[in-house]
Amino acid sequence: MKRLLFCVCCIAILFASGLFVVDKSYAANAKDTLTIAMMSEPASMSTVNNESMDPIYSGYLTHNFLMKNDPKTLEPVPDLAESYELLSDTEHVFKLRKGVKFHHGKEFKAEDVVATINYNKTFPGCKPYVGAIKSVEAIDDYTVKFIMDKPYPNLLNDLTFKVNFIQAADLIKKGHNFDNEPIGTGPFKLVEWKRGSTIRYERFNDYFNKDEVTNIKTIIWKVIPEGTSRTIALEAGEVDMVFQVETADIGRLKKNEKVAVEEIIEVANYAMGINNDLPPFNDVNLRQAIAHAIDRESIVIGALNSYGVPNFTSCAQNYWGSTTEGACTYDPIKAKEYLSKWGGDPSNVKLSIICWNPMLVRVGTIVQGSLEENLGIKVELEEVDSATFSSRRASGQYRAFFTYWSPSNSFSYVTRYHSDKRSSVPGACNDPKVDEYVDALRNTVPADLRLELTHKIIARVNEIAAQPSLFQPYTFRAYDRKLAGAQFTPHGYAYFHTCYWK
Amino acid sequence: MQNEVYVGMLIYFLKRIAQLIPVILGITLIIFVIMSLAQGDPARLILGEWATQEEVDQLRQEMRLDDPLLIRYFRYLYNFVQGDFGTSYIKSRSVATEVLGRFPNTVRLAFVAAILTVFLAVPLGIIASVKQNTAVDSIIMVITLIGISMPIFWLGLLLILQFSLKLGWFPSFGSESWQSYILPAICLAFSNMSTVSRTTRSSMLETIRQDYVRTALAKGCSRHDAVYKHAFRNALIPTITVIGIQMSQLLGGSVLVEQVFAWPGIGRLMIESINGRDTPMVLGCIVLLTIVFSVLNLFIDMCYALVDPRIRGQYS
Repeated sequence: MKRLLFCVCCIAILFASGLFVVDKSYAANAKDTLTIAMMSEPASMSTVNNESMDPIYSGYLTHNFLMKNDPKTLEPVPDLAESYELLSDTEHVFKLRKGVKFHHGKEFKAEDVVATINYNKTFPGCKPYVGAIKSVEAIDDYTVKFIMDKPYPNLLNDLTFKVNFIQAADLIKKGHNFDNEPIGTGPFKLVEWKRGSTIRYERFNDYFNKDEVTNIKTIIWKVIPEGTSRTIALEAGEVDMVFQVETADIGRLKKNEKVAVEEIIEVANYAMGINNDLPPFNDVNLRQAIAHAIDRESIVIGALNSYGVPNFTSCAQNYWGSTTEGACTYDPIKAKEYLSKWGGDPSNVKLSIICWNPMLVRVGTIVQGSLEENLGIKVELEEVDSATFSSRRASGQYRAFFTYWSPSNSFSYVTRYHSDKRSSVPGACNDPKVDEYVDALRNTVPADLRLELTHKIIARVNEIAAQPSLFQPYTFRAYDRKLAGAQFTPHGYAYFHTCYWK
Repeated sequence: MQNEVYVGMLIYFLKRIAQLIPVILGITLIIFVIMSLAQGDPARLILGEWATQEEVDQLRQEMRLDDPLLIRYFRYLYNFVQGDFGTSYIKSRSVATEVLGRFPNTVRLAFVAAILTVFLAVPLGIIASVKQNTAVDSIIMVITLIGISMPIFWLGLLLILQFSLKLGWFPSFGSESWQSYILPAICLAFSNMSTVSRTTRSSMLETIRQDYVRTALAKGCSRHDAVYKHAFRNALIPTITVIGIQMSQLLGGSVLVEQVFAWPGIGRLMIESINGRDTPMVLGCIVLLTIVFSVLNLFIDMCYALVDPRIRGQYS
């Protein structure tokens, strides 16, 4: 007993003396390094064969697009393209930058653009972003022409989106493993990937855009799945930036003088997808009743801790072209009127909503309360994982689910209301007028006409309450105040390579 | 006589290794069936929301997911015996590479946690038994009760808050330095230590009251020798059993600790694979863990023979 007490005292003294404390090599404060805490790592670095966001974050470091999104205006601006010209309604010509190198030394040329687009066309997930392209031709080494099936207004935006990172033609030809070894023209190259732990990028010294080169030579991703652990790592100085900030920690971080917190309204619009084919939800009056009965303010306050904005219209509010015409505002009286028009017994309505993450369960709880209180409809929440949700959505085995979209612009958003979406999501919107407007929008180039059609689509979808919108959340990014230059987009992406230490 | 014992133990060892084969077969079949029945199509997950059913069906055909369950299972076994554990549906990497890349992280953490557990729990259990019904015993029992009751993820966050954030003594996440092991190992050990020390205490209490211990004391044996040489060895069997069970659990990967401390172990890999319906990866993890558990249980059985001559004698 005495010996044990003696040992315990010795250990306590050693701890107090700081003997175990000396080495802080794990701390992230090297001034040429940026350490970022990420919630998860990509399962694969390829953006063409999976829907995850993680490979996109990586792609912004290792690759470039032909056109990229300006992080402030969200408009497409040249990236690997130097200039762009519309030859006709169906022909787009891009002049390419000269002297751009891939990480493996090959020079970027028109053949790489041609190879990338043709490669992307072989993946179903790329359809929305390359489906309208009939062919791509290399006019010369630095000029490429896109030929569309029909007049198509959204090519530039499509080229800014995740799947269209430009790959090297020689690598595509030899069947390179893009899943594990991304090689692009981007400002950083992947040098080490310790699965489940860290991903390390080193600056690519031959990067073409010298204006974007900063004092950061190394970027390290640390995979920390737990939100509070990420926050603590930032506060402790072990990481310099937290990309996905836990909502519960925002208040605390904002009070921390060493940490800057940026708040961004995402374009991600959360909505309730109702099975428009399934009785009684195939009745527009019932859907309208449901849409008007949901208290979205309460959802934002209760489920999101007020970190979001309610949305009543069928498109994200910060997109060009969005409108609140015909929006389904929270109006219990109107909801009851629509319920009367429907004429059925609400107590017989079996509404189950699929929730595929804990936040959506909180949202669902408030929707449950709203619908029961205002309409007398009892709602059941089905908590499933995302794989099950994906499967049930694809097979039409649902009454309702929560979902979100965050495509590159309003065009990409509203065209999803076309009934051709039903080939992958049975029960999705099926309205001839919406189809007519979307078909017209897909082939309309002048901006004023596109604006008018976009408004018509949104107003019509609001009118039929095909997929009532609920809210747009805020996204928070937190980082060391000594860091500057970070650019975060409302799409949820980031330009980490423009960061620098002050 | 001794040679007979060793030969007996060797035969027993080989029999137990041979028993692994039906165990692995049974477990892989069960997992195969469960993963097949679980909702969620890997082809759909790979292709995404925009794929039509025809495209999904085509990929399913390419991946041979539409073959009958037994055909797929036997194909898996056929590849398995040739050392091919398949390719991850989602990561496009060899299952063996991925699993064997993560497993050593779990083993290292489990080893450190197990050492901490044994060196803390066993002495505490002995002290509590020797000082039964005293203040020391009560304090130890309260500590162990807290250890059993406290949620492990909450303990982990508390440790991080105190020792990483406030004191800056240890890193809060990762596995890159030796300091990274301390907090997750303490977190795991605190919970496990409670069970082991309580088991040791109750086992010791039973043994201390035995006649031979009283006889040893009466014959002039010191209290220290009576406890450690006579009582303790006889009380070890249940303690070894509990340590073995907990070691198995540690090697299975504590998902909560791996989550809180961002430890790149096999627990997290399994959860990610299950969520992604990545059947080859799930099977790879399960097969590895089955082998590890079986070998560990065998090792524990061998330990009984080392500790207790009566058990050793049964092998002859």
